[in-house]
Amino acid sequence: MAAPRPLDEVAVRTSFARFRVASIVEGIALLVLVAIMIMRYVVFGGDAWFTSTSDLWTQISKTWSPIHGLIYMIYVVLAFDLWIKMRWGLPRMLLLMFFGVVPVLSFFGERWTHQAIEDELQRRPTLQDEERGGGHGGDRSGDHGGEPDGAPGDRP
Amino acid sequence: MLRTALQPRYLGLLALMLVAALVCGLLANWQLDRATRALIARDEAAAELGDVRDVLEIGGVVTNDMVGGIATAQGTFDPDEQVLVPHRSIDGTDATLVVTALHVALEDGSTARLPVARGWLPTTELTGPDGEVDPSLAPAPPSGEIEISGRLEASEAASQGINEGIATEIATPLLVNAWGSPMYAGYLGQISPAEGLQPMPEAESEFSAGLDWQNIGYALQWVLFAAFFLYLWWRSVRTAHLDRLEDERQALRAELGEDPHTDAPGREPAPAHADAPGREPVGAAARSTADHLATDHSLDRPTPKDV
Repeated sequence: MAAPRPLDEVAVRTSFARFRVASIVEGIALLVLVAIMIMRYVVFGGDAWFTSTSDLWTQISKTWSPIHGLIYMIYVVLAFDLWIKMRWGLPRMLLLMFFGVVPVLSFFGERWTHQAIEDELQRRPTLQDEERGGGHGGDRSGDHGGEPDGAPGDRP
Repeated sequence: MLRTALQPRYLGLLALMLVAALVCGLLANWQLDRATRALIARDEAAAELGDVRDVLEIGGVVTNDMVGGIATAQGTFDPDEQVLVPHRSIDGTDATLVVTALHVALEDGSTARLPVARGWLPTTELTGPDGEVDPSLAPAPPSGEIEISGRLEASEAASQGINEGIATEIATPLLVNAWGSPMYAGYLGQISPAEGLQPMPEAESEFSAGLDWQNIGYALQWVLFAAFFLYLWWRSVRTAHLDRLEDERQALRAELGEDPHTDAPGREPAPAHADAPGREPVGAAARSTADHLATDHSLDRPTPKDV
C-alpha cells in the first residue's frame, strides 16, 4: 500500500484534483463560520466575552460548526491522500493541515501546493517518465544521489 | 526501520506529534467533562436561589450556574395559558407534563409570565377517547395568589410549534408567542406539591436524555485526531525507511555493474513495492544477492541519502 518510489504522476494529479476541491470548499466553509461567529459574538455580542444575545445566530452557529468540522475532516483525509502519493515528509502534512484552519489561507495554500507538485513532478522520477521517450531517463541516475528521501518537499 | 526512527529528525518529529496527541487528549477529556458535567451537577445538592425575581431578569437566560437551583415564585396561575408536553419518559412511564403560566407581579407593578411545569401525569390518563392527548383533561391550576417552589431550568430548544395546547418542548420562544410577553426565558419545574399531579422529577436528564452524546462524539473525534498524528509520524518514518532501502539497493546494483535503470518499474512491478525484502517475489539471483548485501552492509555503508 506504500506509494511507489517513482511518483505515479496520474495518481498524484488525481489526488491533487480532489484536494483542490476540498481546499476551496473548506476555505468557503471556514469563511462562513467566521461570518457566523462575528454575527454571534460581535454584532449580537453580550456584555461578557463569548456570550450572545441572539438565539437565532447561536442556533445557526451550533448547526454550522459540526458541519464545518466534518468538511475539515474530509479536507484532512484528502490532504493525507495527496501527502502519501507525493511521499512527502511529516512537516509538509502539518502544513497542509494548517492551511485548512486559517481563514482565506487554504485558497493560497492550494495554489502553493499546486506549484510545489508541478515542480516536483518535473524534478523527481515518475512512473510516466519512460512513456515520454525517456526524456527524464538520464535525469534519474543524476537524481539518484541528490534528493534527500525523507522530505524532498521540505525545500522551498 | 528502527534506525530511521531513531534519527534526531524523526525523534524530534515524534516529540512534536506526542505533544499534539497530548493536546488532543486534553481536549477529549474536556469534552468528556462537558458530557458528564450535567450528570455530576445533578448529584450535588441544589442551590437555594431564593425569589425568582431576584435571580432572573426578564429576557435573561438561565445560566449553567443557576440550572437546577431551587427558586420560589409568587403569583397567580392563568388557567387559559396552559400547554401539555406529552411523551416524556419519566421512570419508564410515558408521561405528559403540564405547563402553566404563572403571572408574577414585579416591583414596578407590571406582571411577567413564568412558565411552570406543575407536574406530570401518565399520558394514558390524559388521552381522550379518540386516542389523542386532550388538553382539557389536564387538571386546572389552583386559583388565587399562591407561592410555589421548584427547580429553575433553562428553556428547551424548540423543534416544532404549539398546536392546540400541545407542545413538544418547554420552549419559551414558542410559549411567548402563544401566551404573550414579558416572559422569563426559563421555566420552573415545580417541586412543591401540586394537586392532582405527580411532582416533577429531580433530574432534568430523566426527560431530556440524549443531549450529552454530542460531547461524547466530540471526545471520540479528538481521540481520533490524536491517533492520526501518531499515525502520520509512523507513515513518514516508513516512507523514509523504504526510500533508503531502495537507494542502498540501487547503489549496490550499480556497483555490481548492473544497470540501475533496470529497476525502473517498466520492467517488472515488484521492486517498486519492495517494502520488505522477504516479500520480494521474483528477481534474478544477482539482484537478490545484491538486496541481501545491501541489507547486510547497511550498517557500515555510508548512505548518501541519509536524512
